[in-house]
Amino acid sequence: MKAHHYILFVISIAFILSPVIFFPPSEIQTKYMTEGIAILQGNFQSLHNTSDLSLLSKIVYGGIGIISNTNSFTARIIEFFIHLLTAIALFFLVKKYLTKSKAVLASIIYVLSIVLLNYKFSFQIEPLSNILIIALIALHLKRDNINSEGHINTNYSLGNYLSLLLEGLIIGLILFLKFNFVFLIIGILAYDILFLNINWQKIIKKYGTILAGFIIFAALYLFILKIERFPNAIASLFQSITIPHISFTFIRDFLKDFAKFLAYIYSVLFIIALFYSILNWLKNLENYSKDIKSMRLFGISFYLAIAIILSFVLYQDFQFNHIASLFIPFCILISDGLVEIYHKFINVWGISKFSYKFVLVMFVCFLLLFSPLHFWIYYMQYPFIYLIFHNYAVLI
Amino acid sequence: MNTKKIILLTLLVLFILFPISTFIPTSDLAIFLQGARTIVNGGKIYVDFIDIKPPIAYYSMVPIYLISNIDNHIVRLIEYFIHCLTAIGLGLYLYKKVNYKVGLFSALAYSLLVVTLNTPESFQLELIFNFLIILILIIHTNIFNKEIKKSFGLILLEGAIIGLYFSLKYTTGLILLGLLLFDIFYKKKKFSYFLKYYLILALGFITSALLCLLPLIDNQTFNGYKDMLEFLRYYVNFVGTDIPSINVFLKYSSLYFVDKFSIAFIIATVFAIILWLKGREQFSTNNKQFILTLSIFLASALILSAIIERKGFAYHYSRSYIPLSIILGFGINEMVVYFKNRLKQKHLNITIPTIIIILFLFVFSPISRFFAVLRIPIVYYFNNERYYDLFHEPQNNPILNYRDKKKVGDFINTHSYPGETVLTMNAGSYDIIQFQKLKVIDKFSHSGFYYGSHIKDKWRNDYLNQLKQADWIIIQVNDFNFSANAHFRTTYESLQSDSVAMEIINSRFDKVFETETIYVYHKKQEINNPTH
Repeated sequence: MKAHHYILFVISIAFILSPVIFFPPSEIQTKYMTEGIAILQGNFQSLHNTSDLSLLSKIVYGGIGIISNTNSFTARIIEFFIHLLTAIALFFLVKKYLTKSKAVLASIIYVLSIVLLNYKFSFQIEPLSNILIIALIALHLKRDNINSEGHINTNYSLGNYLSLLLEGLIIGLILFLKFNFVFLIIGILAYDILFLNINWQKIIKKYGTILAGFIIFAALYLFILKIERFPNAIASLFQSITIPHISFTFIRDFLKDFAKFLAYIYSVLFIIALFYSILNWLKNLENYSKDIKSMRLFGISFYLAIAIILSFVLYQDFQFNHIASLFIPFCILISDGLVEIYHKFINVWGISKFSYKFVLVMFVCFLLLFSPLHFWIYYMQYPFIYLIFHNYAVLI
Repeated sequence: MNTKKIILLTLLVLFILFPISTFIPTSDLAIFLQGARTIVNGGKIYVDFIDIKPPIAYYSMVPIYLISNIDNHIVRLIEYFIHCLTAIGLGLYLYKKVNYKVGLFSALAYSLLVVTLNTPESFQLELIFNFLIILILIIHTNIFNKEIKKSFGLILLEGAIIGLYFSLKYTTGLILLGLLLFDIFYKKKKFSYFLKYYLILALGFITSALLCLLPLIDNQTFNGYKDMLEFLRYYVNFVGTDIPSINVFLKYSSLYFVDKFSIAFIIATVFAIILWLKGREQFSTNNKQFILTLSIFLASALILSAIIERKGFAYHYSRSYIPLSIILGFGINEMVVYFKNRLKQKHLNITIPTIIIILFLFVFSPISRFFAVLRIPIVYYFNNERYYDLFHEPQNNPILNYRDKKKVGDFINTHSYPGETVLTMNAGSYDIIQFQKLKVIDKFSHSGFYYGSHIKDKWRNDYLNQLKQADWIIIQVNDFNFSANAHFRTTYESLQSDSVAMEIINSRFDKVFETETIYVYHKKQEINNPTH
């Protein structure tokens, strides 16, 4: 890709993401920033032991609050740039393992998903942390030098150890932002054991190094808190969490809410693309050595997605913003699915009679109608409402 | 055909659909039966009982009313048998035309889709008359390659069936478009053939549609029908064509497809479409490609008709359940083969994700919802006291106030004299009439006819007269219903702002009973002790 292609790409995704800048302020956004600023200014009375936010998350919001001077529009601009950066990072990740077209599509789907999360949820810690999930995937895949038979190489270089340490640091950062992200570790562990078939000795060696990275981060973090004389630092490290357990009432509600999320954000088209990609991946796994790079990216995306979904069920805590943790793995899979469906469509189109072409056009119309496109058009009202009416009440 | 296989298919369908026999009354069902009762008692539809459905909707319910006398359990048993016959008929038809597996999967998919519609979306005309689509499929397949002379009667019959189907709900007439396009693309015939064919079909269609409008010969009925159509114009347009309205419709519809139709069935549909595309060179009336192609055209036309209505209610899409179930039969069959092949692989990295995906699709299929619906017959037969609690969710939907309806019904049944009359005032809870035994004198199926934004003066006068005639009045207090009223006031709020009606009620009635969602008034006199 040439420089002007990159510029065009960034402008395009910035345009799709633009409603975020004009989102109305959410109650949560103001609350979090106020709390965070108070903590950063040394007002520790606002530091409650039980909160729905961890201390580090509050510090992040405080940082945004200070930079934006608690101006909600400026805070939205910062949010916009975080999401834009995440989308660009996702582009480079997908480009490395799949194709350029899939990478572009993955970024577009990601920014679309953020816009469709809407103003109440887009500024929550889950969507803001997505860039860390990208880093986690990138580091985890980078290290695994897979041989031609699809098995992991036994010898680790110094570079491998450093990247494992870095992975541990990122895991530390993620966990201190929100403890529920602990299920991401289960996801990558499942990927290593079930997908790569790594034996226990190597698992211990690998995860020992990751643990070392995590400990370094935790020690540094606690050290800084100690220097800054944070009271009750240990008690407020994590948000208030429930002990994972199974509740059938929650599972029933979760199934409804999860379907609602899929319907409202991904609609029918993206769900088809998601499953097309997964089922295609399963089929292609029979010839695993054919395309190891893409198989690994799909593998880790799949297990991370499953682990995240499992965390919703076991923590019995599911809000729309939680779903944002699924955006990275889902965007990777959906982009692959859409491109593959497009290629199949072009193939079939070329060799089909008019009657089949007619039905294919009908399907395309149906899928476009039940795609997130219309929902995005709806949210494109926000910039106009902000700029013309200066009043969001017209939306209500 | 193998008898054991047929018995297995029948038993499975009977089992899956069984919860329907214990479903609770619903508003639309009560309206159909009240319409039928009006007809049986010598009254006139749109004059003595006003609602927004076509005349045939009430006339077709007369046999059900005569058998059941609005007893909900009997009505539900009849509904259960209609759906069973439809599902079994579909299964056997496909067993004969394609193979047993496709027939079985189609019948099961149809049964699951129907039973999981649950209340308040069950017992709708689309569902009850779905068997007509099977008849259309059979006839259209049989006459596909025949000369017109040899199939004149069948073409006429096909037209008549489509005419009847159209008369039940006018938008479903789009099925004709599906058939026409299918014929244009796949029938290798001359223009004159098509002209003759569709003229005969149109003859059957028009005759049948006109017969369905026969009650309108009566002048009063016709005028009432015209008034109703004028009112209906506002009802039809309550979902606008602006971006926010379309957004709401698409949200509802997306949720229907993802949640009720389910992710698993969406994926099965994709499998079927891939199969259809693969077999595009093998089109013949004797093979599965024919059935699959015809089903795709019919399903597309019927889904389009639901989209045109722009309501996004789940039952609106149920008109496409027959062709969709056929598509699903093929799709599920393909999906099973796909997963079997994956599971044959002994590699952990293939089998584990395959099992996870199968579990995921199982959970996000109507099967998991079916287990929730299965509670209904279990509670009905083994813990009847809690039966009404199962449906009591007024916080989610104001009309799901079943515990209150039961209490009100019980109160009236135990405190009324024979010969007394009752008037119900609500917007969407007409099923209250099935909870009590007095004579219902309602002229209107919902309060939108006299408290809505688009009422007629004469309807309002009729309503005020009814207030004077009733011995009992049942008023719902939580029933805001924008589609009926074009405003968000409840019936009780509208009543409170209506000084004329309030004057009648205050001077003639006492509030004698109330629940959280319903008030009951009785003519000023002493309430009797339980005597009946």
